[in-house]
Amino acid sequence: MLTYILRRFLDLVLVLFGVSVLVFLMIRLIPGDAVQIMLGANTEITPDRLQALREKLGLNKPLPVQYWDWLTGVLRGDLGQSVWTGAPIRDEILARLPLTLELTALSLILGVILSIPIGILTAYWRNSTGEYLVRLAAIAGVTVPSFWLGTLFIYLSFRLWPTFPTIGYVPLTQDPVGHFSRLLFPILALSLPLLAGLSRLLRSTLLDILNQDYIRTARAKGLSERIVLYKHALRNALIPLVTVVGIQAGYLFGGAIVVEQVFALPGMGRLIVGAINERNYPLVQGSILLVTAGFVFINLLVDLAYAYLDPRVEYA
Amino acid sequence: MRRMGWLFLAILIGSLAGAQNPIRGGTLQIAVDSSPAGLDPHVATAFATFVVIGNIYEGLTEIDEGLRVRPALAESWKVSSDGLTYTFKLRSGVTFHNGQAFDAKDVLATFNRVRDPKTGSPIASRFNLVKEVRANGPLEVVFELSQPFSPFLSELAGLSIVPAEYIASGGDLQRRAVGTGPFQLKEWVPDTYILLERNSKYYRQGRPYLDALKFNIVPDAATRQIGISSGTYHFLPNIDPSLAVTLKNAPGVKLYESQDLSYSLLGMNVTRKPFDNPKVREALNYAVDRKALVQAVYFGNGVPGGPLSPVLKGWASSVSAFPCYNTNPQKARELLRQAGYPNGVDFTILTLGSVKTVVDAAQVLQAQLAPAGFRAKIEILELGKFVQEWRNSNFDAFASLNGGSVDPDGYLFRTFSTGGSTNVFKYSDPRVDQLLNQGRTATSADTRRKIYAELQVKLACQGPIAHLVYGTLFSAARENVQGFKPIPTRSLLYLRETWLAR
Repeated sequence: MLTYILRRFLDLVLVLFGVSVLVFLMIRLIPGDAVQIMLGANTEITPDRLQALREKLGLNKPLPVQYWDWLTGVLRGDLGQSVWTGAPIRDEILARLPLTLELTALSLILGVILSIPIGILTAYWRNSTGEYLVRLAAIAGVTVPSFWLGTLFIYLSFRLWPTFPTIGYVPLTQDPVGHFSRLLFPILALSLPLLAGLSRLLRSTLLDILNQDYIRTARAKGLSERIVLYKHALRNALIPLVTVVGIQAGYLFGGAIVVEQVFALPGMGRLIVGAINERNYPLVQGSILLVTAGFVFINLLVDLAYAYLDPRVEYA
Repeated sequence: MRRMGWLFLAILIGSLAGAQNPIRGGTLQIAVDSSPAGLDPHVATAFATFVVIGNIYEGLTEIDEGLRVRPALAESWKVSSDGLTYTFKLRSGVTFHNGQAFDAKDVLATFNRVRDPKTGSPIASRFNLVKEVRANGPLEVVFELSQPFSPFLSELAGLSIVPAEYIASGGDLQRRAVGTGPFQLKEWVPDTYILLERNSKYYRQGRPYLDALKFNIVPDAATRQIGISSGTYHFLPNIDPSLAVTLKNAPGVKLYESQDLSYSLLGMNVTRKPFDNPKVREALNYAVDRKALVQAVYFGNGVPGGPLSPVLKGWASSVSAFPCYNTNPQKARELLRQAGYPNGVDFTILTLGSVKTVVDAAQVLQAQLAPAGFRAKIEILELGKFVQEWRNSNFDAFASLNGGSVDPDGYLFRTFSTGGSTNVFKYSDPRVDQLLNQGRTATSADTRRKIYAELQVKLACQGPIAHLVYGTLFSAARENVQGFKPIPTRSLLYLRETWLAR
């Protein structure tokens, strides 16, 4: 088990190294560099001024040198400074990260918690009218994108309850009620598609399992349906669910980027999109590296969770 | 009857309230689409930055709603008869937001900072003709020019004065702005808001009225629209025409309208086929239906225009002076044939995806040009790529939105003179160069008018730019917002006169 975790950590380091090279190159290879954008179109500029600005920002050095400078900085815990303002990248990220973590974590929790009872109920009520309705809603939930749901929520709440605060951001410490009322719709918009997907998955896995021989045996030996469900069926049905939750956590982050735009929330998504548009190289590199690390780490947790859920899984 | 009496009283009180004097206090909630990358006034190019720092900084002069040059940090000025020496008397008793007193050394330090190549300031070239700047005592500054430069006073409005000691001690203007303006930077929460608070030591008596301006950064257009409809925001500066149409009948919301200095255009690369031929450029102008563009892209809120914005009264020639503005696809085909393209031409239009009117205009143009034999392909680019192709003149044609200038010289010289700093079309015409140089050095307004009239006719039909439409500039505000006036330069100068009715 320990060697397994150690090996996975080694993988993680390798993945991060690969990502660091990729991100470093990608953001530099797309057309248009930071200096050009900084100067903008329709402004007066001469080549020597361009050169002077490049030198000032350290963008005139050869790429390998720039990469080495950055990498050694990261290893020392210094993510560098914003090309545009000189602000430390670490501060920029730390200012945004908590909100995105809160948003994705709460959406994930809400989605998972609600998907279990809905998945079970629809499995048991198979082919009833109620189940058809839930199934219809689930298909809608999977297909409708979060950003559209977000706009719809803002619009509906404005129509039905104009004074309810939905837009913008208030720190938790400043006004807890205002904080959560503004996060309510973003969380709903993010978790509904997740909820729909997870409950559909749980339903079909459960249906599959409930038709297995060992369930019939369990029922035949007189176990209550409750114990059959919780002890025998659900536990097995949760294994694919955990895998999907792990992957979905990454996609939730992607969804958060868009939802943050719609609700004007200052999270990592806004930071990364802004940084890419500005070609703020160290900021893009630092934040993507961090997000990748998070994604890889969650996958590690998912693999470890298997051992708990399925004793047959062995780690060699 | 008694009820009528109450009604009467209510109306009376209502009308009294309408005529009330400005009220001090309150925070104006403003929603803007993007966050400034930094606040340094000497390196900024983005509108997102100017909209904020325009309230923090002031120049020696300022431009009002009629595009007149007014005194700001300079109380008055004298121009020598040869047009080479400008002497400014500075306002006394002005302090910067950090408490330092403003005087001539700050003007000198500002000027040197802008001219320093290390600053990389995009406005530096506007002051190329300044030979020398010197202080004459603490409250007098003298600028010596190498040749007369008529737009000098209006260009100075764009030179934000920064405190000498602050920059000498390594002050970080990108993040901590220090000016003399009516509002000062209080808090900047990245991607969330920028809060400016009232400068209580501002030299204009009793101004500003508001306690604070809060620039909320709201990237999504639908969210901004709902935000102002619900009263979450008070003010949306310089909105898209399509949003203006939507908000026109929204209860509790009013629109401020002004003409715009900015215009939509189709730029053509004169070093590439087919636009290297002036006849092809003229043909394209004949093929464009500008009135239809006004309807389709601006929902009727705009006017066709030539090289100068119609808002520059006394300078801008009427479009009736440009024969090619009479849409005529047959004539366009004929001109193409004469230019050696009997089967029409193929070319690509680059556009900027982030500006809605630009993308819309490109699509309408594509449809309008087709019957005349111009087969256009549209390529929508992201800002970084667009700027790069633009700067490297790597395009057949591009559709864009350009800012004009308060004095005709500002825009025309940099855009159309040979080697001009924004002449990405590589346009070069000896007669145009000659007129441009005469225009900036002539000191008599009448002479200048004649020169620019000739230039406009010359540029309108065969120049490298097909000028299309000057849209109406809209800002949306809640009904209780009072005292604001829009300015064609898009500046929010009058937020210092703005107040909130209760």
